[in-house]
Amino acid sequence: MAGAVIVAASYPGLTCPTSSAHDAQKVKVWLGFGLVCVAAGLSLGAQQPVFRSGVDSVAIWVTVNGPDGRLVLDLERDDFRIVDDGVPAPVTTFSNEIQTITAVLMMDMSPSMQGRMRWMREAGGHFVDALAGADRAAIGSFGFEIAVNPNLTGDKSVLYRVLREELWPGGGSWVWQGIDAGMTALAQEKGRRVVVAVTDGDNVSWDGVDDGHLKRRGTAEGFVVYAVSADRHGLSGAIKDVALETGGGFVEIGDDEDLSAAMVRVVEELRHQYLLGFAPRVLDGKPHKLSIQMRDSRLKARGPRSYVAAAKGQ
Amino acid sequence: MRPFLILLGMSVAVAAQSATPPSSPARESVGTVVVVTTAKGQPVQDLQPAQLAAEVDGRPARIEYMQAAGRALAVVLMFDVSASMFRMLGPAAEDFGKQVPAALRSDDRIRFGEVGGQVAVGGVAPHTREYFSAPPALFERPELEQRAQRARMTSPLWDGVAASVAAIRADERHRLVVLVTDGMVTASRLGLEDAIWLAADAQTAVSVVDMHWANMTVKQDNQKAREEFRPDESLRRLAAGTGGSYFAEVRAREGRVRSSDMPALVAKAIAESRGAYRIGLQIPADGAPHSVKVTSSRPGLVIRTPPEIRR
Repeated sequence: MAGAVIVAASYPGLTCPTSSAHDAQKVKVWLGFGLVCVAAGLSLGAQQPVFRSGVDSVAIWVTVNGPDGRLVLDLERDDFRIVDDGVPAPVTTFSNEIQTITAVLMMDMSPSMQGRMRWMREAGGHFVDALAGADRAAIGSFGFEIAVNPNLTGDKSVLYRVLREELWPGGGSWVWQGIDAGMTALAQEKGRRVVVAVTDGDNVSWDGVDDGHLKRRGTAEGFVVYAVSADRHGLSGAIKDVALETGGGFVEIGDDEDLSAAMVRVVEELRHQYLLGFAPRVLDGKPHKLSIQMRDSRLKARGPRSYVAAAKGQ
Repeated sequence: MRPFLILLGMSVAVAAQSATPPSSPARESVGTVVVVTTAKGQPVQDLQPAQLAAEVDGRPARIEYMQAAGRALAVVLMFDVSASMFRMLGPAAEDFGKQVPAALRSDDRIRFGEVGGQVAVGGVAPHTREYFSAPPALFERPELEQRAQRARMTSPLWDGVAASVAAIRADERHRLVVLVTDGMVTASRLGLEDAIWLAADAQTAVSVVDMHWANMTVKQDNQKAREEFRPDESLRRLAAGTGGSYFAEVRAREGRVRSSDMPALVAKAIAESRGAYRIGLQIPADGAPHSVKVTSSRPGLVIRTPPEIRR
């Protein structure tokens, strides 16, 4: 329970029923799971636990919500049940410590989002505001160009500078290419790697990269996609599906809703995911269905729909 | 009595601090570049030391030395070939080959550079019309016809400025970077202020030919407000901060670029830099920026110098 104690002490706002319930009403949030295939013994980042096991294992990041929609932070290993292709798999590793964030924030500059340019810059600022400790982020955009700033950093002054200098409205709706570029920018990073796309999800450009590609890449390489939108029409179904398939989530914010609270909630969600590990039944390099079940049936664990069981060296 | 004693103690401590003479940092000589032209942009090459006056931090400062520096130039012509600049350079290629070599002296050293996904600065280029009409892979990039490939061509402009400054830093000629761009920077490891400081520290002026179409005004859906995006603002700041010039491209547009005065503006940036001088000023060696202002007693001159220097 040590992790839960730290969480409660460090983030008292999360335990405040008034603010959390308020936010839950104002922001429609659906969250999925993070999944990454890692070899046993791989260090998962500076503040991540190191797993030492004799077999390859799969690490997944899981968010759990209570009946009121609030994050549940104090669970233990025995509260989770992993089902791999219909067969229960023992939870071999578990952590409820605060998770370090490694993320690329991709901003949609295309015409369909231009009425929200100021909002998007503010959203980016709120996201950066909420980073802490060893968290690192990079800022990117897609419109005239598909660009990810090379500074993956926790230095907020650099991130604010990029938000101030490098957002230009116009160009194409390269949503899938933009998210793909975000994944590529994080390809050399270890541990949980997150792409947060601020977009309406209306991809109208195509060059062989589509939502199916992102699902496959996210599952195979262990990227987690989140989508955030303030468009009055909400997010497209395709990008919601990408987010949930890759173990991420999505947030739709209305015109009169609290933008800051919504972005903070995304960051807090990432920070308080549970890290679970299990040994896959076979290492065949193929996708396998996965579900996460909770001992307490009132809790909702939403997780990856599949994973790719790759052996070492694959 | 105890509160009184504490207050008394604090007062004594404050008085002791006040009595200590402030230690002023040592002053060191720092060189900076001054470019002098007529109002029409003609370089002024016969200025005498007595005709210049300088201020540092608003106070008159002695000019320790003055050297004419702009007779021969070391230049990087840095082109933005990113996705947002697609097809904006090609139509100017022929005129560029005619006009820019004509502005050069035989002892100038010219390099081409490009920003587009990555940053590259080439070797010293021959002063030939043929080379300038088609510098390697610059104006004609057939592989960029693929839209997705173009879209990945980012604009790390400030990194491009830094690479240009580094490429000519050791050259004794007057150092000039001419940046041809639409100003829509993306994916730049360095920020604008970093680039300005690197150029000013290397006594390298950066002149800009701004090719952006128009300022973009975006109406906000829910806030009933408009937001203006001004690529020119950072470019003006870059030029002013390094002692360079800012030129705005004016083009005829009928669906796509038909003509361009970019080549003439590049030639003008080169020509006016021949009115460059290096001067030495004493400033506090405290690492902080110190404002500099240089004026001339000769009327009608335009004087450009980095507005801040530091040691």
